[in-house]
Amino acid sequence: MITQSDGIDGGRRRFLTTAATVVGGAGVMAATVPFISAMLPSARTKAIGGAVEVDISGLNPGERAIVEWRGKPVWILRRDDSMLSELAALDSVVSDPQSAKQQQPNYAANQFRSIEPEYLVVIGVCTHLGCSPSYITRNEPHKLGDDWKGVFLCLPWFAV
Amino acid sequence: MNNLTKSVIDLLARLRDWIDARFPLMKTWNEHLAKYYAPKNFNVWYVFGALALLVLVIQILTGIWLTMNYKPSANDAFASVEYIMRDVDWGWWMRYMHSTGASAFFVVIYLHMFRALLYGSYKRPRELLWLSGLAIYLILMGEAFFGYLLPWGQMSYWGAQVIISLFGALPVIGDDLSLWMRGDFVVSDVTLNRFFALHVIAFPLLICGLVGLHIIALHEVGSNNPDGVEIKLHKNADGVPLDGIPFHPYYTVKDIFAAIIFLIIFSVVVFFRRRWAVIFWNTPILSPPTH
Repeated sequence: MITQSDGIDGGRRRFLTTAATVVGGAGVMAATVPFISAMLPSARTKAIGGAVEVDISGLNPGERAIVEWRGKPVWILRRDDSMLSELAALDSVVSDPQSAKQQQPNYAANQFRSIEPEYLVVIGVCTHLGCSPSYITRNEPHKLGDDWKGVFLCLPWFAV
Repeated sequence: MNNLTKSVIDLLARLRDWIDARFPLMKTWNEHLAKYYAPKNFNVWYVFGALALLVLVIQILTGIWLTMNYKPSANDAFASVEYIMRDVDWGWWMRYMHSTGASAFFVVIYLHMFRALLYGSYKRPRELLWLSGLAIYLILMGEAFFGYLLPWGQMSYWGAQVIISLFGALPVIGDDLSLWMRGDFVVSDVTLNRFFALHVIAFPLLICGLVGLHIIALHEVGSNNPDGVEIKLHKNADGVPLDGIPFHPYYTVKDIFAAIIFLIIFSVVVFFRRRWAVIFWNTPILSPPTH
């Protein structure tokens, strides 16, 4: 260790070394910012992955539209009267009828899981393991039993 | 020093000892830095080797980051550079650091070489040091040449055309040689692709290897100095040269200081006076070739 008796001001030297190291360290940290930022999504990527506008004026009650957003399928379902009125009756067989579990935006944390009850907008990917569920209405031919009210079914095709 | 600081330092010291028992960490540190003795009379001409290393690191880092978004095909290259400049966060900075760094590399290297000529640092026993340096210089020119084609602008294209034609002017082998270099009958997408491979992998690897050899050669014989005194001839009882000082901390600090001055000037060019680097090369890039 350098001591005062060597004719060297050890304390001053220590201060200068520490101060220079701190400033230099701050400079190095600052220099890493562009490299890390450059790997974040670029302006073009953010634009491509930005919000999608959809014209739903042609969507009839009971119909479902599929739109792509960030590479994923987004379903827009216009619930008809029967769907809306029968929704509460299914509460006992549905796992999260009030949307209490945190897997949707706050504005959709309700029994309809949507902003407007009539229009359901969901990412068409099952929360379990990521299959894209089938869309089976009660009116089309199906093997799901007489009490099948529709519409989303996530099951391997061979089990139906 | 409080107890926490003491125990952290103690932990680091024990880590160092653990590594040292398995890897020549302290041996390398001492032989090449802390107990590597360099002449005490180095002047400003002696900073350019370290600065060249700094520019090499800058080129490699910014180059890697450019490669994350650059597309090496004739159809996409120019547009990908525009994308980097406009849409990638800090992309313009990566691009300007890299292009200015290329020019700075040569400025630094010429000053580095000038020192050798000035003080006779190429003479015995430093011949291999000089020769390996010349090899690096040649490879560096190739590296810059390959890199310049990559934006696929007018200057890029014609620059490649002219230099390859230079090789084509060699008697007997000229035409075959330029065909082989191009990989095609004209400078084309084929040429661009292979220049990309050479610029990004082959030549950087080669440069790093040669720089390693260059430094090993230097450390074997030791540096020359402005007064031409061989410091190894006069050592004290401990084998330490009387006219030498340990590289660390004296020249590490001095080189860091030089690096700071260099980075200040470099930053002025990158951010405010790109013209100083660009005029030298007579860019800006014009419209892409129409073929």
